[in-house]
Amino acid sequence: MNNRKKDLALIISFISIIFICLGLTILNYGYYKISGKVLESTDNWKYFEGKKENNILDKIDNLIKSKEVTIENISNNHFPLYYEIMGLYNETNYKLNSLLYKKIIPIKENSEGKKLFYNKENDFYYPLNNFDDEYYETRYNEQVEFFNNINAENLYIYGIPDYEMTPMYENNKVEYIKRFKKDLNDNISFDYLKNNTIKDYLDNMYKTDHHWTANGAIKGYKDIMNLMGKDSLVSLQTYQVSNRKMIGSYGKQAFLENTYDYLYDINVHLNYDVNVKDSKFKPRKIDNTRTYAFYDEYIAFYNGQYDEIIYDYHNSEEENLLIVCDSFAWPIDYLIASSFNKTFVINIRYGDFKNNNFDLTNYVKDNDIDKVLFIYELQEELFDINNFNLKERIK
Amino acid sequence: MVFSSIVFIFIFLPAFLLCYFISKKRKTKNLILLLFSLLFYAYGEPIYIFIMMGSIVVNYLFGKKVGKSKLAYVVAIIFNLGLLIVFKYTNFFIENAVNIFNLNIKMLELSLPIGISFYTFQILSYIIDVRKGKVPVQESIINLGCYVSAFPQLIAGPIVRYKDVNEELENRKENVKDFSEGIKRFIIGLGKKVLIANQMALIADSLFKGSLIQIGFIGSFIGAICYTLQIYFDFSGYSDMAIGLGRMLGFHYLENFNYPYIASSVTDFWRRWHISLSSFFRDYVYIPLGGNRVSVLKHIRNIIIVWLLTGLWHGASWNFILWGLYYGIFLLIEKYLLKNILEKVPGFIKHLYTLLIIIVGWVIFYFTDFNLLSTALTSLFGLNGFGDINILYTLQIITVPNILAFIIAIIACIPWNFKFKNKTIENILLILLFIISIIFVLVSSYNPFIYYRF
Repeated sequence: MNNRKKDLALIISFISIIFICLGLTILNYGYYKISGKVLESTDNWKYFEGKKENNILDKIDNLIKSKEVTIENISNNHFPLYYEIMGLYNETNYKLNSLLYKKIIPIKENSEGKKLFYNKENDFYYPLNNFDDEYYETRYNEQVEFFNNINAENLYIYGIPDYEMTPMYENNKVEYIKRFKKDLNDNISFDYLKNNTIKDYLDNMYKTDHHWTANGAIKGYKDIMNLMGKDSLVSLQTYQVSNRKMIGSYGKQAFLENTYDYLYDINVHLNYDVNVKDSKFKPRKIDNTRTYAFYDEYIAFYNGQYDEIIYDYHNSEEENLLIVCDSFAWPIDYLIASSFNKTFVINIRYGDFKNNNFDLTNYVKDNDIDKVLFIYELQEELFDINNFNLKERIK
Repeated sequence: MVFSSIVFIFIFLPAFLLCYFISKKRKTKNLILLLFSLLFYAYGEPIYIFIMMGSIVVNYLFGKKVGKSKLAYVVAIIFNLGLLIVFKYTNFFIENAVNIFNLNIKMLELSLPIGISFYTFQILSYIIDVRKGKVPVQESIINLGCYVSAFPQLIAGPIVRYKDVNEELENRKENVKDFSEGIKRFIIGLGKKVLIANQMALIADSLFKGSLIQIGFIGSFIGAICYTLQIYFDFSGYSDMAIGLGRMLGFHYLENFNYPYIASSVTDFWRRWHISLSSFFRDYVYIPLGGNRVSVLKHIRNIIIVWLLTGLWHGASWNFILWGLYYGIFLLIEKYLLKNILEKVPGFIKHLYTLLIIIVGWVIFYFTDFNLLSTALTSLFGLNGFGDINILYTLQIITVPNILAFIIAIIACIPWNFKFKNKTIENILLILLFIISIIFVLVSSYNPFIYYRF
């Protein structure tokens, strides 16, 4: 009889936990639905990508699976104390590993399969890849072939090295930089941001994010202008955008608040028109309204995720420029554009280019472009490390 | 939908338990079990659910005929095996035909229905046992549907024989003791999966998906050990959850694992590992072929056939066939060459010998690409050097959570025969384990389940 009571106690505890969590999840979701409030974070929100619909069965399959993804998103993101539990878990993981490691703490494997570390000595995060030499060599050769086959008279490539591509990392791939310079055709000019010391690295790159800081972006801008034989704007200063702490992509992946950055921008005002899809683009503005600690300040502040942006400085005597890039160009594309007439900024990760390739050859012809500039993370240019598949997607 | 997910634990399960236990009649309960099981399956396979449903109807009709008609029996076997072969092996055959004979045949755009290997074998056990008169025909299509598609064992077993649940389909009694034992088993299984298996998976994949030459012996060895632990805790954890869920509903499924890593021979290992599968092949293939009551040559033939099929059942890839034959050969070696020797050597030597064979076997199981497999094996046998010890750091192998998970895994491989004297403390620890497991479910974005596509 006593055992029966104890069995009942276990049953009641188990049932209570699952029903209470279900109830709170429903209530939480209901509250957001009724109030119209938006979840502060959609970092854990999965987006359904259906398969090609060849027949009615594929349509039904996609419809049902999209509903399933919605159910999973709701149940995960509205689960009671979800972010608090995540934070507690990651803090505990960090503290346990800090017992074993004093200088460089292993954090976790991120969603891209890279191992994230925290350099406690110098206070910054960095990821490491796990590929063999054959992989790097194969990818390198493909990238060299890709760039050498681009149909552009004046081609410029500028790369931003992450920690793995600096001399500070023991197993770096820095030797590929020298090879890259030699292996590119004569019509291609190449340069990269010099993150050769810890001081350089900390000055040029965010501690908690994979992007470069405003200081790094200014140095990059000057390097690029020098590479293209243009004068750069003088007296570029940076200023702190807000007092809000910025926890960037790495910090978000680690889900820790042990370190942070502040967002800086370049203090310059220029007059230009900027169009996105034939409509005038909104001016650069700062979004200070988010309270979520891990909100992606970089996206909020800079241009955002567009496939094509066109700057027009109305300098009819100057050349037209095409910049093929990702988010690294956001802090400086308008600065670079100030030395040109029209500057076309293409990002193949967004908009129409999600499902279509970019026909660079015809784009250059149609828009009377004189110079083509690539701005990406250095490992992306050397190895397509992020699998953007530039060689297949840009023709 | 997997058991170790928020959707299952906090949406599906409470909804099901509410509907199931509100009903009073057995028929209604079985109908609810069937409907929820179909919903569970449809969640992962919105289109293939119709194949599952069609299979239930067809086999229900076949079941009424196979006792009297050999033709119906043969057609039923062909139908069920045919479905399995078409979905699981067609592209394998096409790929090999193209490679060997240089043919120009396009691969079919067919994905593998989840759990087809499991429920096909369950249906076959029903059809064969009805034919042999071991069980009566199931007159209720709902009951048969429950047997075939019951969500606790639908996706990844254990392979439940019809004769083992036949009575319970009609006459089971849900009670407090069974429900409580079911909860206990479910929680333990969930813990095995998310606390141990997933951690070991991270290590194994980190090592095996990178440079197999660079990791050398040390990386390959650690990867192999971790994969050995991953696959056991993943699969036995899932079996525990299945058995636990079944127990909550009054079903008493047979055990699927019996501490396989304490085995003292390969023969012993296969009495402890995936018992429901090995006993299926024993009863429905090995014994009908004559088992070991035939000449030596025929016995060898029987073993090879069974283990070829066992390998093939695990996957449509040559490495699985190799894995099956690998064990077949070792079983024959133990039977005909090592038997007397094994009886005389000390226990720890037998145990070490068995573990080494098992670990190498799992490496064969892991790599579907033969080039990678050969590199992994050469690294494992030290032919690519000791390996760069730094990779244990750069791949985040040596971390406190990994070390803890590893220690718990080793302890959990051994049957301690420990029973709590104080049930209250046991219950508290179980609930704590459940809460910790839920935390891991929440934070873990890495939740592959190895037997999902079988």
